Amino acid sequence: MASSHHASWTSRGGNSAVGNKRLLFFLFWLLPLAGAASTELRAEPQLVSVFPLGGRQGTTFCVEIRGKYLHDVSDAWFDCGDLKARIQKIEKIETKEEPAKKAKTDPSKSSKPPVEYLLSLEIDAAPQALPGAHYFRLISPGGISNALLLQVSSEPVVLEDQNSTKAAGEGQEIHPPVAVNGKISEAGEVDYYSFTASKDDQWLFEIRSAGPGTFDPVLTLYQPLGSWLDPKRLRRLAMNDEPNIYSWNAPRLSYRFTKSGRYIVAVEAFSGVTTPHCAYQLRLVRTHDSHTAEKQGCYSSPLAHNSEPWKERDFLRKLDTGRIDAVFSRTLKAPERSTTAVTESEPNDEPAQALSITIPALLEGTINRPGDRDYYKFTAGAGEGFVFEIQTPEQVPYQFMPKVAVFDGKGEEIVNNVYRKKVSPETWLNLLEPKTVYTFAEAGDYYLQVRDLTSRNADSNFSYRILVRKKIPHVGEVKITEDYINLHSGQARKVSVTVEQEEGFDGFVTLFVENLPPGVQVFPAAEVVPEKTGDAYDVPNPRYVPKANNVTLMFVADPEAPPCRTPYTAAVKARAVVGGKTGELIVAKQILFMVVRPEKTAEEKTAPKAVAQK
Amino acid sequence: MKTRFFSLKFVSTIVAFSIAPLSCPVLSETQHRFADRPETAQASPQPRTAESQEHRARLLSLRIIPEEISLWGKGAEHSFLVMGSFSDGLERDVTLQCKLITSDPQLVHIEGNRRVVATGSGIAVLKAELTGRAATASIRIESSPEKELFSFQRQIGTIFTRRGCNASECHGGVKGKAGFKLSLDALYPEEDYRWIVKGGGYQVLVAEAKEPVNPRVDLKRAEESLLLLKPTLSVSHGGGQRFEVGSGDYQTILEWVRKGTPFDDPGAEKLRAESIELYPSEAFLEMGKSQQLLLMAQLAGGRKEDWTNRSRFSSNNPDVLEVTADGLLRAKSPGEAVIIARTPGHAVSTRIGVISRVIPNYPRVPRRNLIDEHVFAKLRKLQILPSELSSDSEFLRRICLDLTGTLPPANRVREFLKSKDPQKRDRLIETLIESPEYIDFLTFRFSDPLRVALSATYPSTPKGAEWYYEWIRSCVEQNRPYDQWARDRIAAQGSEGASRHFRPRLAPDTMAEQVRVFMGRRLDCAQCHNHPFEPWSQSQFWQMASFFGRLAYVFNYTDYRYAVVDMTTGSGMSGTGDPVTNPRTKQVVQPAFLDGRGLTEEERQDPRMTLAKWMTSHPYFAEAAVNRIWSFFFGKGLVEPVDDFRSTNPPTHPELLQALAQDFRENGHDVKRLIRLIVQSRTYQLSAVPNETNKNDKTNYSHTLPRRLDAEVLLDGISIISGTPELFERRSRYDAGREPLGVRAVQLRESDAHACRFLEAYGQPDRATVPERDYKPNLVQALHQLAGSTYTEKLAQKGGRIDQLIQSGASDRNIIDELSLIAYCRLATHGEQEELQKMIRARPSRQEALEDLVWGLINSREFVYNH
Repeated sequence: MASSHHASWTSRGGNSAVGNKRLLFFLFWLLPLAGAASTELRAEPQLVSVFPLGGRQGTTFCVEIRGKYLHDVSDAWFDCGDLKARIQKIEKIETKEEPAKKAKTDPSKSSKPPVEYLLSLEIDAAPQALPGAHYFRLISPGGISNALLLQVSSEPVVLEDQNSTKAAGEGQEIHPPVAVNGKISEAGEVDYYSFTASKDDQWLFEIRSAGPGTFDPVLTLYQPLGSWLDPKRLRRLAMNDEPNIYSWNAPRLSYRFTKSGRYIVAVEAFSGVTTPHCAYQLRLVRTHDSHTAEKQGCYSSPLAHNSEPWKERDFLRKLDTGRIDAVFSRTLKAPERSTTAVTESEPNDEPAQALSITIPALLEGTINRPGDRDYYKFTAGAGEGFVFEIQTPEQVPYQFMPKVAVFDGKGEEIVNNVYRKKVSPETWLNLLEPKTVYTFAEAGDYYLQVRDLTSRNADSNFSYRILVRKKIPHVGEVKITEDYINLHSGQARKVSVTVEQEEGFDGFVTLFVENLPPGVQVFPAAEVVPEKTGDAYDVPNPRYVPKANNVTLMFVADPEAPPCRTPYTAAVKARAVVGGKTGELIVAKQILFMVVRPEKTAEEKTAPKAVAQK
Repeated sequence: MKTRFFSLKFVSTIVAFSIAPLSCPVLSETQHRFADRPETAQASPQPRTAESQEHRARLLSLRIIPEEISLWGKGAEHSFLVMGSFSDGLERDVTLQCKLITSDPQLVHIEGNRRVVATGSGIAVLKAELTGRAATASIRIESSPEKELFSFQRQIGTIFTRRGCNASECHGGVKGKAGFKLSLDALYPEEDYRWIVKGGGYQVLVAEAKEPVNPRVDLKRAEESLLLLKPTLSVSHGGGQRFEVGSGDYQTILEWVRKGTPFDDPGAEKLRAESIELYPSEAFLEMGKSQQLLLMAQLAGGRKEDWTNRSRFSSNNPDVLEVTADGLLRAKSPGEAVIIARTPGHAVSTRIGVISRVIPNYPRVPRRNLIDEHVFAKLRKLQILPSELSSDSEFLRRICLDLTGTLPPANRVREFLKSKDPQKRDRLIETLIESPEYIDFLTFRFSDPLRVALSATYPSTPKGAEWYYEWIRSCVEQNRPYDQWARDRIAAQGSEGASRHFRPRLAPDTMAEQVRVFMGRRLDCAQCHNHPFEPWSQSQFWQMASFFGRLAYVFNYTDYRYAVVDMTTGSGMSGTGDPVTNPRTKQVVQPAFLDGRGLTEEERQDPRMTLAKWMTSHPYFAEAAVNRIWSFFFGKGLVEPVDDFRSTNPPTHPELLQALAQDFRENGHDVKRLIRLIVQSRTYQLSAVPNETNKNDKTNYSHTLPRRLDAEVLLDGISIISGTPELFERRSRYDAGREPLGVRAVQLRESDAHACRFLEAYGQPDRATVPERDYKPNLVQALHQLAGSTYTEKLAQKGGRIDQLIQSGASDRNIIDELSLIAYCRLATHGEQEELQKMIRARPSRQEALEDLVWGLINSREFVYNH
């Protein structure tokens, strides 16, 4: 491990124009460096797809990775030490590009596209490797690549047999529990798998893909009964297609079979849209065997190492009695009193039946029948700021849409968690918010009402957790887009950091970067903020949106900085500073960092496009 | 692309396979020559002329309409009808032939053998006698009031209505005529009064009168009032002369102006008609015969009055039936006509049949269920004999296409035709109705009115359309009660599939569509002005639209989805928080039902569910539902268009519609049960081969009328016979994918997401609005038939059916039979076999000859039509 390099600077809450003139000089210093950039710069490896999508714990399996600039890849990186890999082969893919046609449709892309490569990787998954999705990247002299996901399974893993999955009435025979690695290569392709189930078996069917937005799979369960008109006709028993392609949600079905017999499960791309890279892993496991603890349909990250960053506004962040401690860790003060856990008690549909609570309180309840409303009573002083944080632990918010509203003693609704955001002079957007901040004008008793936003939806898993507490000004989310950086020696790279100040935080936020590679420094930088034009309608409502400051970090690699053989895990950390006192260090983001040689060597420039077996 | 050229000789040899574009909906006689004969024998009595029959028919009974006559005051008049029932099943107007007497000539006397006139007060009896038969009606004469109350609508509005001044083509049009607006049939007398007495022009979206604002009456010189000068043509009038100077109507208006143009006397509201009824409600006239109409009004005060002379009558088919201004019908030629009677504030219609010939000893036609009872009863009255029961081939093809949208495979056709099971039709119906293909096809059927399209869902992405489609599919699959479908769709909340059809900013459109789809009424016109043909006012429209005013979308960024909810205030559709306002009056509108009832406090908590419950419990709902489902199987509704119920667009079989609606309601709005009822009926299973009595009938279900296949079903049929499934490419900007091979056209979710020229050419609707499919032939179809890939490449496809048949070593005879079984559900006839085999042998290439044969099959009307 190389020695750590530290850098730090400070952001002041509510003051986005830093105005440090010294920074301008710094920028002037950077300009010649930027100008020195050559078109012959090394390109970092880019991963496009991986197939098959994974393997079983305690086995060695091979995957093929498709991507660009892979010719000189030397190593693989995994998000845990239980996965190791060896590069087997790298070969150039003969693409079927039609340059003339492409140039006609998009003149700007008339230049020759980069060559694509296929890299074979042999992976050892240790027996203790956690089941689930793991990130992996490839490393070359050009740096570290973007990440793809690889699935590690506890059940046996088999490969799709392309010859037998295409027959609708038959399909490839599989024996659950099993994970099947398959690929949808052509538009309109459907892969069929047949299996036998016994009466009262309950199986979980799940499709995992390489990540959100890569492939939108549809999962369908059939019984091959045929029909009078078509003996090969499949009878659909169940279907699951997640409604959008942006979430992590994998199509998942839990099905209890009422008859013993042969069944067929089909995998296809939504609307038949596909690319040659649409790999999937179909899992069939007994429901009680599933290592996924979530209930069916519940939104969760599929990552084996779930290291979610701090979330202020997300219906799925965990709220518990320790949440206040976590909030206080992002500022200086200490908690004044511990959080009381309160479980709803029916009947509580009317304010008169409201359960009295003492602040801070963590409310837990369920909206389990249409029209159910849960009331809680609390007292607030004049000018006291309150925060209402909401979690839906068992349901994604599109099904359970918790409306949390506060009523005064006269029955007037004074605040709720629906943010009516004006997005154009004539258009408003209603946003359901997981956190609402409100300052009471008058002292008195108030009633918190919880219900589903619809008047009719309810379910036993419409459960909620609501943390009612007083405002705690603190450092909110610290947002950085980059999760890896390849920096050429002698070059600089800008990284924007957004620091949110929650609940009236008005102190300073200092930022640090630890564990940078040797020869790399980080500087605060100022950049011209474009003048904001437009109407006043887009002013965010502080009740739902925190103030935020942007800080620009400039990572600069010394011209003599040595190239890295392995990535450094640099950590961007933040610390609140209030009244001259500093708070705890907060890890904002970990970034994989590599310094790479800027130019290709003469040898590399003349190197053959495809690399022979290693 | 291959273009197909045929030798004329070859084409003409395929006797049943017409290459003409789809312009003639009736099967050729040639085709029927080869059709299987029906298995039931039916008497074929010789029809006789009406003239000869009337003399032979015995009068069975008489009745007087109305049975109770009320008269108010001396001089009051009331018309009546005497109807005679005859042994031939007809009821005839015998009023003028009867001997009429009253029990007390001091109280009432009879005038012109048509009306009674009060001469005193008390109770009397009217008696009619004819050939030994008699009927009576009671007459009650109340003492007259001192002075009849004045009502603007009753006295003045009646003149406008009777003289046609407030007809939709004149001043009763949307914007009126020549700057002068009257409400249709004096529906809104207050507004009429305003335009006459205060003057000014009507403006569609503005409540204020358009300049110049000059009264149309002259209080100082009443005779100089425009209201008198124009209709008497004393000054130029685009509508010509409506009455003469000095006529009764002239005097009425003159007196009214002289009296200072009062609106209504206190208590005059009692004189407004609450409803009107036209008698006879059903009639079947022999050619050349007459029938007097009688129009009765039920007044708000409880009276019933004869309003025949306050009405304007019209016929929608004067060539069949003409009607005089006094309501006398004259039958001119065989057929049917709708007679519309308009009175101030109301319109009513009735369907009258004209019989060509009377059939002596009309046979008893077997009946299977209530559909047959009603249809055959009417046919008997019309003296039309239904066709015979369809052949097994006809039935098999028809039922497969109607329940599953697909053609049965050849082995199934053979199996069905061979079966001697007397219950085989019912068994097949059950098999098909429980098949997965039924689910696909019914989903497809309902995807039209419920509009599954990218452009009709929100957001306009395939995901939204998919959720919506899957909701419809699950309704069909589970056979959920239809009223539940409707409630789910009208009141959908959250992110459930049914909610995906709500699009923003369109509360009025959304409401109008729900009413159109589920109540069969078109309110759209009333969005900008009072409905020009129906009593729906602009206010009513906006009150109904207000039910959707709180509808809003709520997004959450946790998983990028949105839910539909009803916000507590304001117009959520635009998200502005503004209440719904009537664009003309600029007044805030509160939700109210079409009957004018507002919402209780409890109902306001969930206005759309309240509306959904009201709509689904309204009689309109079941009527509209059964009418739509009926149209799936007959190609048209009992009311046509299926979503255009109007008082002026009556059903062809009102009693049948009521009976079906009642049955549907009483059986839990069970769609599958209704469909079973329809397809099990003999009416549905009648042959398409007409007989001498029903060959001109197009409205009474006396025989099956061939219906052109829907674009999707036609394409699937061609795919089946060619053995080459269609590949559907998606053209959406969101997903340029392809449906899996083998997906049928009727299984496509959205109608606007696929690039398929065939479907476009043959009338696949885009469902941007509630579609009415276009089955008209066009030039593109003709060109497509000659050179389109569906008709060329598909047939020549390697591995396709022709290729397979040749490879199998099948003889020409067997191939011809196989193709005929698939295309027509029948074996080729002997004549067809001989000619076709000869032609195939004469061609140098067997492959090409067979391709041409298939081409001929798929272009024949027997293939293109469901019959």
